[in-house]
Amino acid sequence: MRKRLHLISLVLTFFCLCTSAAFAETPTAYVKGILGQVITIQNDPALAGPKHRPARAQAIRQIIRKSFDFTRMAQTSLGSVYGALSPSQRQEFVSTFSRLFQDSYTRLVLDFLKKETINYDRERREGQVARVNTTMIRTNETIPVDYLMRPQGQGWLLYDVVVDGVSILDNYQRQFAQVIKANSFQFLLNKMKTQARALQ
Amino acid sequence: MSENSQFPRACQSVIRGLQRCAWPIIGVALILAALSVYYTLNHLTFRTSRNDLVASDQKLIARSQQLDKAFGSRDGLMVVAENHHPSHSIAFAEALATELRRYPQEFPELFYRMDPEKFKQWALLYMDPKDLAQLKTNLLDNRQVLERLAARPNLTGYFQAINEAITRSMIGHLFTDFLEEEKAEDKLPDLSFLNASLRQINRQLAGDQTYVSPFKGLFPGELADLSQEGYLFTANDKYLLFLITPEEDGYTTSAHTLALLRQCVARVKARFPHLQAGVTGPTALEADEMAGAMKDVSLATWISLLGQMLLLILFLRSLKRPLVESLILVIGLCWTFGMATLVVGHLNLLSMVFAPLMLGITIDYGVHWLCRLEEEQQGQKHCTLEALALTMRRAAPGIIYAALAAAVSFFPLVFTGFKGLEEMGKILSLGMLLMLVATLVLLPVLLIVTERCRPAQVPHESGPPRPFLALSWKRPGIIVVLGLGLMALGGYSLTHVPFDLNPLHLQNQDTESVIWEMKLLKDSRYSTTYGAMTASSLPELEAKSEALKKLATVSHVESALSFLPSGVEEKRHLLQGLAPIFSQIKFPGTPSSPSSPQELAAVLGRIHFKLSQAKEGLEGTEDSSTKVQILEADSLLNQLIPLLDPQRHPQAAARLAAFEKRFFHDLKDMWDLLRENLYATPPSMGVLPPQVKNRFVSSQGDFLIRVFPSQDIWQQKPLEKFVHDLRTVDPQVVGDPVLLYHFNRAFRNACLWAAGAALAAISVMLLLLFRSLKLTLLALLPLWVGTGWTLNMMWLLGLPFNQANVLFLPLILGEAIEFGIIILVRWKMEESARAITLPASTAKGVALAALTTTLGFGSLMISGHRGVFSLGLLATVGSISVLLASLSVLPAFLRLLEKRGTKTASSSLDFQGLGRWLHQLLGWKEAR
Repeated sequence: MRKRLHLISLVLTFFCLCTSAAFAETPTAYVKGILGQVITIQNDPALAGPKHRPARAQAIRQIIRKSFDFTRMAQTSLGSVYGALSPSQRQEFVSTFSRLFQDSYTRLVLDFLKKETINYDRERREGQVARVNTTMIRTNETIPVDYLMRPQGQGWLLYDVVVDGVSILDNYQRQFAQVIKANSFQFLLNKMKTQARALQ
Repeated sequence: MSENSQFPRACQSVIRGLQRCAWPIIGVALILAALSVYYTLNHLTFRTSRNDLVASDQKLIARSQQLDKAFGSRDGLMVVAENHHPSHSIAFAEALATELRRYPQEFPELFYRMDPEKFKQWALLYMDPKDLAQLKTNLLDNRQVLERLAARPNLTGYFQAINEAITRSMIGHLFTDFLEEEKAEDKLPDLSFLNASLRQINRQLAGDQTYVSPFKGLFPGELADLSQEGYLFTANDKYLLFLITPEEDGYTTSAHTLALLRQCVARVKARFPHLQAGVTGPTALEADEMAGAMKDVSLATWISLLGQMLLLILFLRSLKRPLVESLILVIGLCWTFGMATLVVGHLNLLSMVFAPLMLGITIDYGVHWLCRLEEEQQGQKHCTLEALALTMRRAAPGIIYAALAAAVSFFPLVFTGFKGLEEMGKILSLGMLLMLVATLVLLPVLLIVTERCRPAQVPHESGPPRPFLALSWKRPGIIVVLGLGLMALGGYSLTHVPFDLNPLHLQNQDTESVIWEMKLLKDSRYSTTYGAMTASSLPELEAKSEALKKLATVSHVESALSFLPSGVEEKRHLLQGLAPIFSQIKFPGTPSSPSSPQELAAVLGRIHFKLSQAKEGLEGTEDSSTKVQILEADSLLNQLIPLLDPQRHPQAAARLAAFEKRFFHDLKDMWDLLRENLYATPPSMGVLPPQVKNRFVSSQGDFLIRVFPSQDIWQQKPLEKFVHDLRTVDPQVVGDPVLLYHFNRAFRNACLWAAGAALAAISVMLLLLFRSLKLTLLALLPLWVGTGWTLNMMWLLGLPFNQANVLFLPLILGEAIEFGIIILVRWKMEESARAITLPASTAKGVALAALTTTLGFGSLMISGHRGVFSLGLLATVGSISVLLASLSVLPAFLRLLEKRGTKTASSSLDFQGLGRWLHQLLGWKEAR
């Protein structure tokens, strides 16, 4: 019975992901759609408990995969170094980055996004990019989370999330820059690949 | 029985003379005793230092005295407090200082704290390089927090910065932790600073105005609260030390000062019921040892007197005669004390035990006298002058020889070159002679007076002596073989009886000063015992200190340099890395704008949100410092956030504002002080406070170095190694370990030498008296056999030789020789005695003498001082062994000789030479 529910949930998620971008009209609606799906998975009684964490993670990873602009994120995280890379290096880097980000963000969602109420405070557009300010509320405590996105086709793609004033992309930039400065890009890539292999 | 006519007549004349002058003699004796007591009470002093036991002309002592003079003999007393709560220990130290300052004469100098204010400008240079590196890491890690705080200097800004740091850390952990070279197990930064701040705000909001700097977690604790700094703790912070230099004026003053200190400590301790503290230090150890030993020895002396009297009553079946003998012992003891005061002037740790030892030996003379008198009375109740004269004639020679032998056995101690033994040798040798005079003069006088002795109505005749226990000595050979076999076994036993040189094994382990000294040694490797050397210049001081620190036998080195920072260049280089932070970040003395409680609650809520999540993730994990910090932070935030609700707590805003002011004032002070530290010129000798200079720099500019051992130097081998190592750095090194090393060896060697010399001297004396090697060897027989048997018993009892009981070697010598002489002289002088080998009265005298001696020594076993106890035990075992040897092997040997040499006995047993001369002088020759 649980297996069946699990499958239904996955199918529903997949369906929603395929349709969400096409129907999202505003950045806020886009973020609302993603968070709604994720909260549904997190609160699905059929997937509750530590035993079903891998199943929840898989479903959430699917949502993340479709919602983020990994190429832009990878490029931004490397800064000027990205320009000096060969096409194959870029491809390898983006692919590895994508896998690592999906895993990390999935863990973030699994750990922090549960039964919280989300307030959608404000939406701003600056040129081609949009920023949606939200507040995650748990009892009397609140955490501001901002979503940054850019248009993609008829919808949007996220390229950064700022949790309580700390940008995830900024964290990547600083850490990558330190490693490249201390070692090299290849060293960084090797480390990332090793980590990606470890996650399989 | 044929006798020279002069000696009996002389004895009769002496007895008559004593009868005529009995009361004047008693009066003179008592006056002399009273004068002795008065003189002793007013002039006899006690020297408790071990240094007083070593010859004063030795180089080491001279050098030690030189150092004491140059640097002062300080810190003799030490109060040690267990440091479970530093704030309690410090409060105790302050309270004790206040209490002790009420007695400036007794406690002229207290040293328990160095004022940290004078040193705070160099605080960073005094830090351990490891701690300094940690400070640097802390500052660099918290740089963003500090920058944010400087940009928005109020509490909300401060917690926002912390919140950001936590968030950054969590994001970093989630997304890029795989880049870390060393994987951090904790995804959160160190929360000690946050927790310290939260604790403070909680207290303030609850109305507690006490401010404890929360910056201890971030900055060095020493800087965060100077009021708690500068106190003396052991290296592992387990004990707080409070050093006191007491008034120095001999043992009496030390004992008084120590008692007063203990009263003060008890009064202060009453205010700190959970704090454990005690008094130790060299002065306390010496005074406690002396006081304990004196108390025990006083008690032992009285037990000895009482016990001996009971024995005399039992053996002599008379109350009067034991009382007479006791009175003689008391008078003789008073005379000896007077003589000791006159000749030596003081008692030391060794010589203070002379009284029970001397009583144990000298009571023998009266015993032999009374036993012989009993025989001469032949059962008659009334004493006659003739019986007294006969007793004097027949008992006095043996007693005189025995007393001379005892005096001779102690006399070599005078030449040991060991001051403690030298003084004891003088007192005991002269004491023996005084006791001999008291016995030979006062005993007949007091008997004449108390028993109203009159001339006999009918001529006095002596009957044949009765044999001892009616023994016929049919198989003397078996006794001799057994006795000598056991004696030979003693030679083997000797290889299993060690010489324990550890002085701590001698002390009473229940003494407070010993208990705390042992605690310090065991728990902190701190000791009041250290090697001492000097350096005449700063470079020499540095070179010697460095060389000493490299020695494996050295735990740590104390000198003026210990109060100056080490590795200054390296530390300054490290500090240069912090200069940019300090130049860029500046804090105002007051907050920019007061934080509102609601605003602060919102920021704290965000922190709580993340920590709650972290707490969930830690469920079921093992305890770690991070887990403890997270749980504490979670708990503090749960308490604090509701307190910031202005509706329910209207006073929150005012209390928060007050705390905020102090917080920023504290932060600015701390920051400015750290900045000042970065650019301060390193301190020099000139800045050291007088307390340090007085202890470590002499008026001539010499520097004192105290070197503490890393091993248990109370054991001989580590002590030898420690002293040897120190001498490689400075051959002139002194201090307690060096003195102890020499004291131990010198004392053991001196005692062994004295025993050997005494044996040789007694042998020569006997040879001169007897002019016969055979008789000399016979007189020495109880000594050899008794010693062999004693060694067997020591092996069986697991009793080693030590510095205290080694004194018994000369003592057993004197006693054994005495018994040999008493038995041999009678055997030699009376044919009737030879016929029965061992007359009952002689055996009774020897047995009673041995038992009283045993009691005299055995009484020392009541002592808690282990050294004195072991002396008592060994002496008891030795006395009984000598007694048994004297009453079994010697008579058996004599019996054998008698059987073999009846035909030639008369010629071979003649006294010759000096012996003959003495006997002729005394008018006595062999009875046939």
